[in-house]
Amino acid sequence: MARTRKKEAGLGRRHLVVGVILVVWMCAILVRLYHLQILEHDKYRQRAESQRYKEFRLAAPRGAIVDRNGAILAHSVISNTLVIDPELLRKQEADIKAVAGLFAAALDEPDPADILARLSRTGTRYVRLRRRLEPGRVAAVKEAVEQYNRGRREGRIAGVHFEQEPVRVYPNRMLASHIVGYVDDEEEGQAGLEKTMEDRLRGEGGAVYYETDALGRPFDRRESPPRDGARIVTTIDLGLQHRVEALLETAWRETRSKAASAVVMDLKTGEVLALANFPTYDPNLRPRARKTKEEIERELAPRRNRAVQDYYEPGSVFKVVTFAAALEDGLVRPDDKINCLNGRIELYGRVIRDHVSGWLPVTQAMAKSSNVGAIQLALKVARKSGEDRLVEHIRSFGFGARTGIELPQETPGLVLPARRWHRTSIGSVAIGQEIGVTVLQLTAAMGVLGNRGLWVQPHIVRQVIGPDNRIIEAAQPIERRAISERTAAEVSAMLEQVIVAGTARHTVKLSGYTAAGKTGTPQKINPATRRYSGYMPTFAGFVPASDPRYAIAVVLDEPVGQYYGGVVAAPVFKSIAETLLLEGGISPDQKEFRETLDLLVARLRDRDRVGDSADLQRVDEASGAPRLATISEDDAEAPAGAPMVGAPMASAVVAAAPTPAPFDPRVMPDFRGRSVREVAQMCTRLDLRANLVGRGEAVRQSPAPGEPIEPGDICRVEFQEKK
Amino acid sequence: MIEQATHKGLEKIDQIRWDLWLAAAAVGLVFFGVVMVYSASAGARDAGGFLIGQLRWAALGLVVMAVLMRLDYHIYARPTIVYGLFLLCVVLLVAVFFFEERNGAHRWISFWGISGQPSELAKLTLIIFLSWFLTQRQGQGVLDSFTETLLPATVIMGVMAALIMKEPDLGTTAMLGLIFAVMMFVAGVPVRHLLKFIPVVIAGGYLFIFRVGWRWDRIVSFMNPDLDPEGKGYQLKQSLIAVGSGGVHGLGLGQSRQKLNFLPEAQSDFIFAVVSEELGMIGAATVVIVFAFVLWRGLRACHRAPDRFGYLLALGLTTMIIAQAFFNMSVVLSLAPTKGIPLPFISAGGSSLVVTLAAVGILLNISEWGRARPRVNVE
Repeated sequence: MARTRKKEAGLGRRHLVVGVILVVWMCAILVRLYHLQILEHDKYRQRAESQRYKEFRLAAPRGAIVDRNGAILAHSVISNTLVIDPELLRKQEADIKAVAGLFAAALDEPDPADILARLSRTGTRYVRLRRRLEPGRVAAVKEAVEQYNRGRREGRIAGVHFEQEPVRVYPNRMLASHIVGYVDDEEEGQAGLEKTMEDRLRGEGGAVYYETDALGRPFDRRESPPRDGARIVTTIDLGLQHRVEALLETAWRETRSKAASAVVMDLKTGEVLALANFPTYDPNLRPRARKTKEEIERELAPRRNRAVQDYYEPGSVFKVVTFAAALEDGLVRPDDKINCLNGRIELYGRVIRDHVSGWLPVTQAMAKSSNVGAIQLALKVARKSGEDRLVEHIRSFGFGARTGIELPQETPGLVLPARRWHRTSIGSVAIGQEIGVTVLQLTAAMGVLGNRGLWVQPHIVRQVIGPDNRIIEAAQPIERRAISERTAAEVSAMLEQVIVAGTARHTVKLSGYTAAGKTGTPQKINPATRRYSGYMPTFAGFVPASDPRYAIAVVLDEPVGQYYGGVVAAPVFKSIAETLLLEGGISPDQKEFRETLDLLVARLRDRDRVGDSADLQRVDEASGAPRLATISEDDAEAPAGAPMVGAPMASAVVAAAPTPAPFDPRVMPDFRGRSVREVAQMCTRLDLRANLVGRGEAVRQSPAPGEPIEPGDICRVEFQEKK
Repeated sequence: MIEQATHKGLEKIDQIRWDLWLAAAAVGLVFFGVVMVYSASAGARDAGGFLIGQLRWAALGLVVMAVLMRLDYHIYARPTIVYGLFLLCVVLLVAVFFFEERNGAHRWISFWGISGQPSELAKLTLIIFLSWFLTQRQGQGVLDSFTETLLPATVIMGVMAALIMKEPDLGTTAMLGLIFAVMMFVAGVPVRHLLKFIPVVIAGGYLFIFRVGWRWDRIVSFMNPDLDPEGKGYQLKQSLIAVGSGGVHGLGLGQSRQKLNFLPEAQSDFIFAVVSEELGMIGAATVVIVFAFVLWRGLRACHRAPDRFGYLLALGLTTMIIAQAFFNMSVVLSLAPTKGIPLPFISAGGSSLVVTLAAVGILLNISEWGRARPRVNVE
């Protein structure tokens, strides 16, 4: 072969150099692929999704808040919001001032300055100019814009549109505002049940996701439907709430108090039936952004739920706890006398004064709200079991701990352990000083006395009802024993005396009902000066005393003029209690009232029989019961004691008339021929102490029929078997 | 000397057998390309049209490949063929300026509804020319001469490059330059001569990149794609999103989201992004490896070529295919600035596919001549 490879030699390897370079290049590509597809995969996947998914939020209607009967306190309605894109407006080079004027006119706003400021905002393409537009307003704005744009080539208004969104509406405005609370612009609860029940109310917003190509054309659609918020059924009775607010507001205005609070609770179930504070606010009006501290304070102060969020020194009303503690520990009996000294007591050099002195029965010491008496009892407790024992009692009444009511920012109050007391603290705590309680805690504590010593957790949410109308949650209030049933009864009896003969005797006598309660006139401590200033008259108690149903507490903050709890707060308590009892279908339990009522019923029956209405008139005058005349068909109560179920009074009286033979309670009836049971019943009704002998029919009686009798008289009746 | 002038006496030492593996890889890539073009064009208005078009071009390309495979490659060493091809190229490259502009460039000629890019043919022509010319010059012993070898070759290359640059098509021009440099280097032209081109490249780069606004923008956006994602960096960013969101396994064939108008040129210059998105790291790496396989088989044909002409021709063709493929991938992966060059075999586009398959056909013919013998065994 003549073939020579000389020339090929020496350059024969250069193609391998090219090959190596290309392989290195390939490796770079593979490394880059690894970097992008494995190391940075998540980042790019997110970018890919974010640029191709378009999301349209579907708002979930927020659940309603209703009262115990289903009346609406808060609900959401779809409304129009006027939204502006300031960027677009600027791009159009529209005359912003003219546009602001146009909107101001269309929205009926006198000053376009605010609108102008919003239209001039930079850095956003979404400005809500006005929310909750009335339907007519939408058309007005649309037309104004159209008219403005007509025949205009430049400076047109653009970037205006209306958005439909659910907006919270409180149809009852101020009513129950502290309970319901309010929402912010994003429909998120900011106070009250709106805040605490936010997660139930809100529901779950849905969304429609469109997967789009680069031109925004959708080619796939996924939807997660919204889930409506749950409905909150409160324990509130809207009618009662309204009455309580009206009464409290009147008192608040008349006494020119800084603030006022009242709570009404069903003391057996812990259901809060009404809770009111003044000053109050309209939750439909969102708090505006304010600049100075004072402005913010003025804006937010009426929004405080003082009954739950604020604590104060309760003063004398707290003696209830002191007395209960001494009784519970068996250190004293209601009839025992305690030494109230000479109206002053000295503890380690500190002198506490009193307006009563000498030896007083415990009941009287309570009725007269004796400071020294209370301190003496507290000292008894402390001497026997230590100061901590008193704190234990205080805590068992629910003080010093949040009640757990479904309202935000509840304060636990202030109950210091005994080791943090001063030497003289025992004297303060005994009379409700150096201690902080909320009006709600006070109400619940009064409930303990009326509920046979059981503390029931106050609550305001009765049920949570899901969008499918199923009950998701039902109230399960905690119940625990605070004091023995006996102590509760004993303290209750004392509190009845407060009203019958004590510090509230002129102000809380209910018409037809018994009541129990305690006054308090604590002085406020100015936190700045650490000195006492102003009063917080208080009255707390429960009704009716014979068969307690409702616990009520009323507190006024710094009234002008009269400031005693028994004078200022007690009448509010009384009005609320009377409203409650009459509307709640509770039968009057006051003895004199019952007797007169029975008499009236008897006469009504007589009149029906003989048609003599003059007789009724005479009986009425003779009974000396002026209140009878005020009883209308609507608000009187059936004597049988059963709750009235909407039946008109007259027919109820007739139907429920107890016995065929009417009787006058001031003369001895003729028992002859009646059974033992009938006689016993009649005696009870006449308040006679019956001494019944034998079985069968009544044959002899003393006093004789027709003789005058007094309540408490002894009567003797003999019975014999029928032959 | 004797053999360089004529190869008639050359015997086939080994059993004649063209490289089945290379053919398989090429045909596989072509059909993979048809599928991917169809998938990637899903966002376009006429996806079916793309499929039919690509199938037609693939069929034509495969026919061309089959024909050239059987055509003795020494035919390209005839001066008539070499100069004929060169003249044809020049004519066509001038002709593009008489055809309608597309996307702001004169790159296409069109007859009877069939259009193609003469610049693709120019690459092939340059390779054939250089293989012949450098073999000639070496035979005359003047390979080292600047004036007799480098300068004339540069002029020939320069004519075509200038015309393509004028279209403008910087990517193909760069490919021409790359092929030129590689072939010069491999042919044994002294490196010191090649280094003289560096100032020319720098000057050209300055004039054609820094002085032309949009090219400079591309460079900037390549360095920092996030700078202006909606503008100049858009294509790069969308390409990276496509590749990155593919992950290991990809979204599945046909499941690309980026092709839905997010990624411009999804079925042509950026088809590798769609491959990466739909088939993931596994698919993309496989494509890269198959190209590497083609590289190996190409270099094998080159290595075994019976003569200098075949050696240079095989190397030039292999370089053309592989360098272009890797360059295209590098653009997709933001390893190189955006240049409009297609991915061989796979991208939609007729003339590119036909020329690539023609190159494979020639390579296959060269491989047929290959002998299993060490190349360096002399003296």
